[in-house]
Amino acid sequence: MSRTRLGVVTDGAFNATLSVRLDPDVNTESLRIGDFVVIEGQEYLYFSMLADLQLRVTDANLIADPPWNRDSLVARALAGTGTYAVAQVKPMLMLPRPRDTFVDPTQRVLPVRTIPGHFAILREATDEDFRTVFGEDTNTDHFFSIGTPLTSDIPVAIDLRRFMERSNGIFGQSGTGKSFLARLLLCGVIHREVGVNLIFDMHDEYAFGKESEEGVWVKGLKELFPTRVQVWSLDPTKREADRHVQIGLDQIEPGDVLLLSEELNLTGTAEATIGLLVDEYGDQWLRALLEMDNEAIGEFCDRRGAHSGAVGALRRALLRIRRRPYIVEEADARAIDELVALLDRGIHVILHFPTDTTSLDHMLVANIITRRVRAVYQARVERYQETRQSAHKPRPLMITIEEAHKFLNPQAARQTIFGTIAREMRKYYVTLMVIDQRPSSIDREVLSQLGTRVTGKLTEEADIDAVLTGVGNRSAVRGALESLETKKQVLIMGHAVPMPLLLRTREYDDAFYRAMQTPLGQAEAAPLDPGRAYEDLFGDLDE
Amino acid sequence: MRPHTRIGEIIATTSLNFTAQRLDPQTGDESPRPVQPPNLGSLVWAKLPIAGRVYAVVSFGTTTGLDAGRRAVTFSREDVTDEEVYREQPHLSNVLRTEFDALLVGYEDATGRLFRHLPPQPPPLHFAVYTCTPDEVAQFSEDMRYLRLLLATSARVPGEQLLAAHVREVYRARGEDDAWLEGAARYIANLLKRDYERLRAALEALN
Repeated sequence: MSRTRLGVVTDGAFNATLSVRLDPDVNTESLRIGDFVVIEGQEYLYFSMLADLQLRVTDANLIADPPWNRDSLVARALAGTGTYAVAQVKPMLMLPRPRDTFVDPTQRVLPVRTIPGHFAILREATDEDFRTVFGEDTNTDHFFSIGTPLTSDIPVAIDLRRFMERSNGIFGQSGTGKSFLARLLLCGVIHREVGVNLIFDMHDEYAFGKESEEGVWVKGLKELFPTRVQVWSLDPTKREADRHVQIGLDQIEPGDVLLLSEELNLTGTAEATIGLLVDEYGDQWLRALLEMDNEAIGEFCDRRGAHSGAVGALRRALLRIRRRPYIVEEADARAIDELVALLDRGIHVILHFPTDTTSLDHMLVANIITRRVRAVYQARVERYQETRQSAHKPRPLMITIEEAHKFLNPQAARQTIFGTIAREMRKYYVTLMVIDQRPSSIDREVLSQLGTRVTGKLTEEADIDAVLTGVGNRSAVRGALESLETKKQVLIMGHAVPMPLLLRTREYDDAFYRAMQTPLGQAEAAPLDPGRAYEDLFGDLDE
Repeated sequence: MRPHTRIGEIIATTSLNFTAQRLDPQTGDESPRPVQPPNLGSLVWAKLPIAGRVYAVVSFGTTTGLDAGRRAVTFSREDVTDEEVYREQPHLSNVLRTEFDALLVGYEDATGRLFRHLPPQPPPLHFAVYTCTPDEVAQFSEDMRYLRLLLATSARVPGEQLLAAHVREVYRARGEDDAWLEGAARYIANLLKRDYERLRAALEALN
């Protein structure tokens, strides 16, 4: 176990960061912004984040007249003496300091409420520290490993139960591995049985196997969990699907159409016109409108005082919806109930969109289905609250949507069911996992409600700001976020982890498939590291 | 081990430093030559009464006429210069005096334990001054904290030059110990961290 000393605390403030004078032999290049480091105070260990690295000189003349030869004795003598480095460190959590060298497992980490004194030692985090703070994936509970820290090979676990408690966001510019990460988390939720998923698979990413950017075939969720995942497809010809979905015209509500204003080029009068149609025809309004000819439109306008041009334009626009292959006059209303029944049984449902669908299809279908699912959930939760019988307690449901800004932009967030779900949190046991590459386009209020955020590299200033909306210690976290590499590195922060951490994401490979196919609570067939084996042994003794 | 060479006798002493007169190192059968002070920066020692020693670093050297008020006169001629002057004027060693100052940098108590700070008492007047053997230099320089004393100085040469001269002496005595030199350079850099100009001067004088 390495316990490399890095330096001593020399300065700082609780409200800002602590300055740590690095030891002369510590190379700044061996540290990274966002690294998880530990300060050893007298009473507490402070689990902290490396927020900044600074170069300092003791004498200002040195800046004007530096030793020109970097390898000269002068330059070497100055390194760590006249020229030195300071790390700015932000304590995030603290833990009463164990009396012996081992961390006492009964002690819980606390939010940081004080700071260590002068000359407290800063050191690298050990595997033990990671285990203490983040918990350990023992394949027995809701602690699920999603990667390793950049400085170590110890798997870092997130608390999936807490993850399910709030809506979550996965961000990152394209190519940073958002869909891999989402798959990883979805696998975790399925494998650890912490809830059920309803996944809107808009780009054919999750259900079935797919070729990764590296040219490797990776397994889909249906292949990994054949009995626990059902794929419902909008594509009637998709043979692997468990069921094909149709949407009836009578299921489309005014809100669904208004959400598509941009896609359908609706004018400002559309809302008023639809209102008049609903007054006249109730939930058959869309069908009635589409069946109207010019004469019928004229009659309707005379009767209701609508503008015939507006009604005609609306009708022409909505004909596009009618032409979608999955739209029928009247769909089996029980389909949604069946879907909820599956979720009730702990079966995860992936709604698969064919590759030729557009965002119009994604938004229309996802909105309609989600609205109904949530209505059912709401009824159930209300019933559960009345009866208080655990049999009536609904399973936590997580709904995954991609290109979330289409559903959750400031305008849409007020109209769509997704905005409602994001805002009301887990009141009705329904949360979202939003996946997006442009978080800045998402409504601020929604962003601030996100519990756990996992983000890959982002370059746009606005996107970085958006991801950090409502995050504490923004400036420290921001540095970490900016230091991410393009691939396979993420910053995870929020509800499911005790403190923000940079991670190398877990490989989605054969070892992972094996782990996912190992039943919960059993040891994997793959070789274990000694620490794990020891714990397993202890588990046996306890039983 | 090389025997200690007695090189001088203390003629003025304080808590910080002492002044010694150089003893004529010449034996009778050698031809007369100038008497020189020990190397600037070299480590010397003197006995303390009863037991123990003080260690000091040579910080200044001078040769003048015996009579303090009178300046020396020239003896060289067209064909007689340098050493030849001394050969021609063998009495010179009797009328010139060579003195050197040394800064106290540490002491050894009766038990033989080394301390690298100012001794509790100055060395007594008229006690002898000896050169240190390379082993003694190596042992004393193992801990560099005494280098600080060379800067805080009543010496008449610039502190950084004295420091560099001493480090050069030790480096040689330690058999060109590069690791030690590197450490000493870092220590000096630390000592002079607030004064880059002097630090530069000291480090550049190390080579």
